[in-house]
Order: sequence, then structure tokens, then C-alpha cells
Amino acid sequence: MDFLGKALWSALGLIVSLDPEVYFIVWTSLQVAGSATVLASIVGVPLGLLIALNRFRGKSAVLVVLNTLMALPTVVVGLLFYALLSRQGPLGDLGLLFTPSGITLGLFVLAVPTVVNLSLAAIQALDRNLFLTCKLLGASLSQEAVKIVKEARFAITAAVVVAFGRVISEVGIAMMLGGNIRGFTRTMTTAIALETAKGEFELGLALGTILLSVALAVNAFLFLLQRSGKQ
Amino acid sequence: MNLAYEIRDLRFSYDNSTALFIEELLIPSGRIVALVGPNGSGKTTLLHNLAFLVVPQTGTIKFFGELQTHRNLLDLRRKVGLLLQVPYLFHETVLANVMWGLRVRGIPRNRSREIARATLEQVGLSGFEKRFARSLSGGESQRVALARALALEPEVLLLDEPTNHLDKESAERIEEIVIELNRGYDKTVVIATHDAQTVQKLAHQVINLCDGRMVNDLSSSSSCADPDYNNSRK
Repeated sequence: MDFLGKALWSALGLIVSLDPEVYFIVWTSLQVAGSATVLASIVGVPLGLLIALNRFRGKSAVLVVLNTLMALPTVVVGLLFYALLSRQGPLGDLGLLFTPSGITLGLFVLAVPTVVNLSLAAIQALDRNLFLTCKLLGASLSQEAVKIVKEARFAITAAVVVAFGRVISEVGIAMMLGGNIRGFTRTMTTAIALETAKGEFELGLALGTILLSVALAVNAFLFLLQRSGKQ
Repeated sequence: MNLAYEIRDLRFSYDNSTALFIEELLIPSGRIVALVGPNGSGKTTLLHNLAFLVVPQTGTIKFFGELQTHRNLLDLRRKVGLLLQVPYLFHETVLANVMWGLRVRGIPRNRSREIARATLEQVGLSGFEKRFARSLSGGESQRVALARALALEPEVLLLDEPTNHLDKESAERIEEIVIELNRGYDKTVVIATHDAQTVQKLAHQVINLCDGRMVNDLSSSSSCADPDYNNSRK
């Protein structure tokens, strides 16, 4: 317990002293996870809307695949994109391997099924009279789509937050596609894994504390947003 | 006689099961028409066809002489107002709810606001503009939905059991608005109802529906006698 207490104390020291290495790692993590979540939302919410509102052959199969993809192991995504982005791979010329953009690409693929699935569920849970109301008030298809997303905004925001939580806390993709390069692609999770392996618990704990704080801040923001919206 | 609707050989099915078959239905302009029949008789399905929310599998619908096709569906829909039995109000203020239909038609925000305020006054909801729509009572919600439809100045107003689940006062308020619209603005109104008092008070013409077909007399068939059709009010 004494050892844990000392490590925690040193971790707080690193956070309070604005240690540049710690904050660069935090910034990199937020950058790649944030970009991946924004891109996944831009693709995933309209895709969820399309699937929810349309009846088509094979819809059940699509839903089963989407559910399966939500449990996609991060190392599998890392491995797949490592093969695609490596020099011998078909996308090797893009030079994305071991860059923050490469990590973002992998995280984007990880986040999309979560955003699609949860958005789809949010839209399917809406009152069917909403769709009728949009139509009978004379909305075009695009105006109706915007209104539906707006009506499901709280549940869709929750979907985006869940996706963000998944990508910021994963380690497999960041390690395999980023390479954990100090001052370039090192993220909070890869740094925690590395520092713990080296026996440097202070830095690991400091980053773990920040990771938890980020999750807390995002969820608190969502809670306040939902409460203000319902008033 | 100017016809609001001219329907011939209309057949509408849900998943291969015919829900509505109307050989001929003529609804004159400027009249209040009541649709009467038990649950499942096709009243709501007919209203959805009249609102151009759906396209029948066979048959034709002419709206003031204009034939419904897949191409003019949105244009026709914008000329009709439908008040749903359970209205859906957006998670916004009352004013924003009434303005939305105007905004999607491209009417500028300030003009939309003016129209919405005037329409809310017409339905007796002045002062409700900033209230959150989801916090209103059933009667108030119904009137907001009515204002939202009226703000768009529809040529025909369709009402799906508008006084259902409402107290006597709210039901009478809705009826007064319908009478005012018909007499004051010569609007055509089609109203689906179980309420015999509403029919007696408002309707110029009654259409009896049974198993998706028009019949002369509902009481002649035991399967089509409407158990909810009554003269009592809460």
C-alpha cells in the first residue's frame, strides 16, 4: 500500500507540475481519439439513419454483422491495418504506418460500428409518429433526416461518447499502428503499458489518472447536456 | 360541384392484406365530412391516403382535379394538414414546433414567427410560445398540433379522432375551431371519430366504414357496429 501511495503522490506531482512529456502524450491521445470519433460520427450517424429507416433484403444480416463488429478485438484491427499500411501492403505508399494519422484510421474503423449500431438503436426507439409528422408537415427527405437526428440527439450523443470511450482507452491499435514512438505517436494507453513494463509506475499512474479524468469529464458533460435539454 | 377529393377504385394493402377498398368517394370542397366505423375499419388508413402519406396499390385519387402520382406526392402533401390521433410534438418550444413546417417550406424566420404566433392565438394558446411542448397537457398538445397544421394554411384539414382522450372542455374547443375554419375560411375538413356528438354537431356528410369498405349503415352488420360510438362525454 505504501508503494502505491508513493506512486500516486508522484503521479499527482507530474500532473500538477505540467510535465511536458505527460501533456504531449495526453494531447496525442485526445487528438487521435477525437479525430477518429468525429470522423466515425460523420460516417456512422447517417449510416445508422439509413439502415434504421429503410427496409431492404439482408437487413437482419447487416444488423448481426454490426453487432459482431462492436466486439471487434482491437489487435485484429491493428493487425489488419498494419498489413495494409506496411511498405509491402496495398496502402503502403500513403506512409501512414507509425504516424498519428495511421492510429486515427484504425481507431475510426473501431468506432464506426459502435456509432452506427447505437445511432440505429436510438432512431428505431423513436416514436413512429415523428416520421409521419415530418412527412405530413411537408418535409423533404433531407429535412426529415435532419429532424430525426435532432429528435434523437441525446441518445446519439451518448453513442458518440461510448465510441470515444472505446477508442481513447484501447491499446492494440495505438501500439501496432503508432509504434509507441516517444514525442510522436505515444498515447496514454501505450505509455501506461510501456512505463509499467519498465517499472515506472509514477508516469503510468499519472496517465491512468488523466485517462480516468477525461472519461469523467466527457460523461459529466453528457449528463449536463441531457439535463439541460430535458428542462 | 367543386370536388376536394375524387377517389376511384382505391385499394390499399399492408403486406398483401387489403386494408382499404373504395370504389368511389367524392368529397365536395368546403364540407365537413365524418368518417365513422369501429377500430380497424380503415379510417386512419383512408386519412393517410387522403394526406398523401402513402400511395395506394391501385386506383386514383384526384385532389381538386389534380391526379396523385409518385412525382407530385410532396406538392400534394403540402396542401393538406393532418392532425394525428396522438400528435407528436418535437422536443422544442411550442413556437418552434409551429414554425417548423413553415421553415421547411422556405418561409423566412421572422415571417414564420409572425404566422406561428397568430395561429397559436387562433387556437387559444397565446402566451404558450416559450413553453416546452412536451410539458403540455393532452388538450394543449392537441391544440399545438392543430396550430402547427393550420399555420401551413392547408386546403383540406384531416383530423384523426381529435377529441379522443380529451376532456369535455378541450374537445369543445377543438370543435369550435373546426367550425370556425369551415364557416369562416370555407375549409374542407375530414374527421375520423367515434363520438356521435361530434358527428351531429359538425358533419355535413357521414361516411361509414366497415372492414375497409364504405357501407350505408353500420348497425345493420354485427361485425361493424361500433362499440365505442357513443353519445356520452367525459
